[in-house]
Amino acid sequence: MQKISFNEDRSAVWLAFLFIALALCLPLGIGNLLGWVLGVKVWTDPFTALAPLGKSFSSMPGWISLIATLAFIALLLLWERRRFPENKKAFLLALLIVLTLTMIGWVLGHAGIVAAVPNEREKLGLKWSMGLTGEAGYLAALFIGLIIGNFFTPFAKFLSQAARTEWFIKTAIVLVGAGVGLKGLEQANLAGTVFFRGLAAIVEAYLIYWALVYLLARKVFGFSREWAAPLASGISICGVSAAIATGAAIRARPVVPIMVSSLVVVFSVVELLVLPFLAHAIIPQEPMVAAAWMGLAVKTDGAAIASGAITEALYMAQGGFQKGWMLMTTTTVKIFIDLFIGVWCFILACVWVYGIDRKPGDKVSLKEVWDRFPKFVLGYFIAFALFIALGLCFPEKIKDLKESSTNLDAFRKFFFALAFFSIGLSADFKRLWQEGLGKLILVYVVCLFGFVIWIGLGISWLFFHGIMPPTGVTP
Amino acid sequence: MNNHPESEKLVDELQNQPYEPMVAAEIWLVSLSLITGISILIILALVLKN
Repeated sequence: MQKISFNEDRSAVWLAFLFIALALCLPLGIGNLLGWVLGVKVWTDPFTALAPLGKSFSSMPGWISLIATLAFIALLLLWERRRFPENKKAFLLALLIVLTLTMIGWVLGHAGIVAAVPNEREKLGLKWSMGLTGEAGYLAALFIGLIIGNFFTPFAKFLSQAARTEWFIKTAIVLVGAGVGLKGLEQANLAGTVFFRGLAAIVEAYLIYWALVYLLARKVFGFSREWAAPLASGISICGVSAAIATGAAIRARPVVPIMVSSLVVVFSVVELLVLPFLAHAIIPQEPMVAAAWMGLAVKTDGAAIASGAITEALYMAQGGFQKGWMLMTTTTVKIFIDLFIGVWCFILACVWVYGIDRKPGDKVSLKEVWDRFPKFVLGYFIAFALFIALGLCFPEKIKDLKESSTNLDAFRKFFFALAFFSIGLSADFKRLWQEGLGKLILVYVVCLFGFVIWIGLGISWLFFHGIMPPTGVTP
Repeated sequence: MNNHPESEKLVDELQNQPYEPMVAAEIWLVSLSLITGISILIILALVLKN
């Protein structure tokens, strides 16, 4: 493999902004230039799993959308590396294989038996499922990478030229900014009471959970900073995106946040299966407290929203409440927490550059700070601010912006999946998982059951106690 | 099975994390976070109560 100096940070930002520019052609009235991008649904029949996301492309067969998505990403990545003296044909071949295998993992991870959460089972005609949500696609991509990395070493070496974990991660994180910005704007229009109380969730997740988990990981379990920071973000904020963004902001090796995130995805199933029923058992008269608790305690977006839906179903059966209020509360709390990932990463990046990586007596010039500062964090902010500004200035375009953001989210998820595949390919992750997992699980269990869910319950009680969803038939 | 030197290093790190004392920046980050977080929650709770 050739060693080439390639600035993945800057390239990721440019690449992500190219996606964003194309997506914004829709609200600008030019057309839905990314509407053909593949959306993968939770499936029981694989032929129904694939479909283009854009409504205007609904007649396009799923397989054409699949090929178009893979070809488009391949061409863009190839174009980004046009100035590097590698064998272009070999790179393109390796890239196409990496993209295809990741997509296979992503689609397999959406199989109903793996991904369907309890409230989806009836619709899909399933009696049982693992309930891992669509994020199981990350684990499936990781697993395929692992098999190749461990059993087909020469093939893994060939693929490794195109399996560029950091490039994929950073591109995905800039795209997260666009989606989060718009979601924040949508939530701002929701009921004021829920909105105000959602602010408490941000404070709790970032300023209390994060600090406690970090302190515990560092002082009690003896983890290094590189492990403790992504672990704290994974447990306290929102799983995959937060752990990966934090890892990149503090310049941790990519395998560290990927390992933390895979643990978070697995653990969110436990939370999803236990917490709604626990809430219903211990606080049967407080539906909104229970709903907010799900948003605070369940750590991946998919699992948190599914927990909110299960909670709502449990409480509606007893109280005749209007549908949607509890789910809205869970979603608002979760999205509020997600909104500040970029701010938190920015703070962490500054603390690491100024306070931790700087050697005693070093005077770091502004230029050096700029050089060392992760550019993708700024890319995230610009994307975040751009979508909020567009939504505020052109409220009539929110629907189009939402569709643009949905298209970008499909790319974001796929780039994360590519990162998981690349990690499986490049490291002996199986051994790492087997031998290093015990300690990580211990921190996770101690933090989650020791204080995260109980502080979450206490604060949800404090801020939502006595508030009831409207009763009667849903209008 | 292949044995990646990087993986060996990571496994070793996870099992026997080298002692890395908390530096001033980390202590400040954790302390400020906790103090600010608890204060904001108290203020928010008081505002809501009134």
